[in-house]
Amino acid sequence: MVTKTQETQLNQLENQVENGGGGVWEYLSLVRKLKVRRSEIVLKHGLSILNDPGKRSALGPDEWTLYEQVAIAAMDCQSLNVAQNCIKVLKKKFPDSKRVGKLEALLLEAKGMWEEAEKAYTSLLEDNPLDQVIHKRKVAMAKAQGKPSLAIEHLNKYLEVFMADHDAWRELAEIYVSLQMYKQAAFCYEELILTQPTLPLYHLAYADVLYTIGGLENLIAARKYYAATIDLTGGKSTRALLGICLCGSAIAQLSKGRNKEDKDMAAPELQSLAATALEREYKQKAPAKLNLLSSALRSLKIS
Amino acid sequence: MPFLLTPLIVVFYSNSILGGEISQRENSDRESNFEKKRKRELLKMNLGFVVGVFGILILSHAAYSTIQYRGLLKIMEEEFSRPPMNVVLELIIGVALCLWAALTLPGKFLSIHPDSDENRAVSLPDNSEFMIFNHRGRLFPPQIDMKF
Repeated sequence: MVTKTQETQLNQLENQVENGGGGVWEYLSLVRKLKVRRSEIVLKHGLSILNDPGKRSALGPDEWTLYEQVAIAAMDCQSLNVAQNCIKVLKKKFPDSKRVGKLEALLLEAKGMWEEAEKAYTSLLEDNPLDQVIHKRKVAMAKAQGKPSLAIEHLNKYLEVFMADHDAWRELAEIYVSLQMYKQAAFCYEELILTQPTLPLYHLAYADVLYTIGGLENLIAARKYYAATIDLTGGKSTRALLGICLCGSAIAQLSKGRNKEDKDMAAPELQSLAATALEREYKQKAPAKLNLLSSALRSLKIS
Repeated sequence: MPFLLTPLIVVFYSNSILGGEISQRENSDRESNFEKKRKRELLKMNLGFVVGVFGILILSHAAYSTIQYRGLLKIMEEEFSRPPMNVVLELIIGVALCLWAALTLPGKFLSIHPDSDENRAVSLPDNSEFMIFNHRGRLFPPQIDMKF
C-alpha cells in the first residue's frame, strides 16, 4: 500500500537518480520497501553500483540483497545474462540456500523453460511443503503459459490453506475479471473489503465490478460503494465521482417506467453534487479538458 | 544544585554521541538532507528533555514551598485558602514548561485523518510474487549492460 507522501518521495528520488544526482541506494531501498515494479531503472542503476567494486564494498552485507533485486529486475527486462551472472555470484556465496534455489527456478521461468521450472519448484516444495512464495509462483507460471483456468484452480487450493493473503485474493479477482466471470470477482472483492474495510481502493474496484454486472440492485449497490470510496478518500478520488454520475444516469434510465418509490432511488442531488465536485477538480487540475467534461455530464443528465 | 548539573551532563553526552554518528556516516554515499533533518530533530528532543526536567524541578519547588507555607500558617493558626502569589506564578511557569516539553519530546506526531497525504493509499502493491516475465516488454531489451 503506497501512500501519497511515499509516492511523491519515490517520484522525487526517481527524478533525482535519473538526472544524475546521488541517492541511488536510497531509491533502491525505497523500491524494495514499497514493492513497486521499476525494473528498468533498478537494473540500470543497480548494475552501475555492482560494477564499481568501491561502491559495492561500501554496501556491506546489503550487497547480496542488491544482487537479488538486480537479478529479478534483469529477468523482468529480459537481460538474462545479467540475471545469470548475479545468480552465479549469489550461489558462490550461499551454496545451499533455498532463496537462491527459488531465484534459479525463476530464471528458468523467465527463459520460458516451463517443464524444468515446474520440476525445480516441485523439488523445492518437497523440502518445504508450506512455502507460500513457491505456491504463488506455480500460479504465476500457469498464468504466463496462458492457462487461466489452471491458475484459478491452483489459486483456489492455495487460498483454502492461506485464507488471509490479500495479494492472492486480489490476484484471483483480477484473473476472474480478465475472464469476465464478474460474480466470482465480486465475491473476491467482498472478501478483501471484509478484511481491510478502510482501504478505499477495494471499495472502488468492487463498485466497478458491480457496475459492470449491471441490473438495478447492482447499480444501487455500486453507487453506495462509490459513495463509500468518496467518504474514505475525502473526495479526492476522481474515479468514484465519475462513477456516481454514471450510476445515477444508468439508474434513471432503468427506472424510467417504474412507479414513484423507485424513482426516488435516482437521488438527483447526489449526482449534481458529484458533478459540481468534478467540475471544480477539473478546473483546478486540467482546465483545458473542462469543456469536454461539462458536455459529457450534460449528455448524461439528459439521457 | 547538583540537580541542575545532570541535565547539562545529559545534553553534552548525547551531543557527543551525535557527533560520533555523523562522522561515521560521512564516508558512505548518503543524502545530507536526511542527516540534517535528523540532527535538528535530535537537538529539539534534547532541548525538550532539558526544559521538561526544569519544569518538573520548578513544580517540585513550588510544592515544597506550599508545604512550608502551610506549616507556617499552622503555627500562626490561620486558615489555608490558597498558596501565595509567587508560588502560583511558579506553578503556572512550571506547567507551561512541562506542557511544551511533553509536546516536543515525542517528536513527529502521526496523522489520524484517513484522507491525509500520509495515510491515503494511492496504489496497492504491484503483486511482485505473481509477477510474470511473459509480457510485451520482452521484445524491447535495454541497451547492452555488461556484467564482469
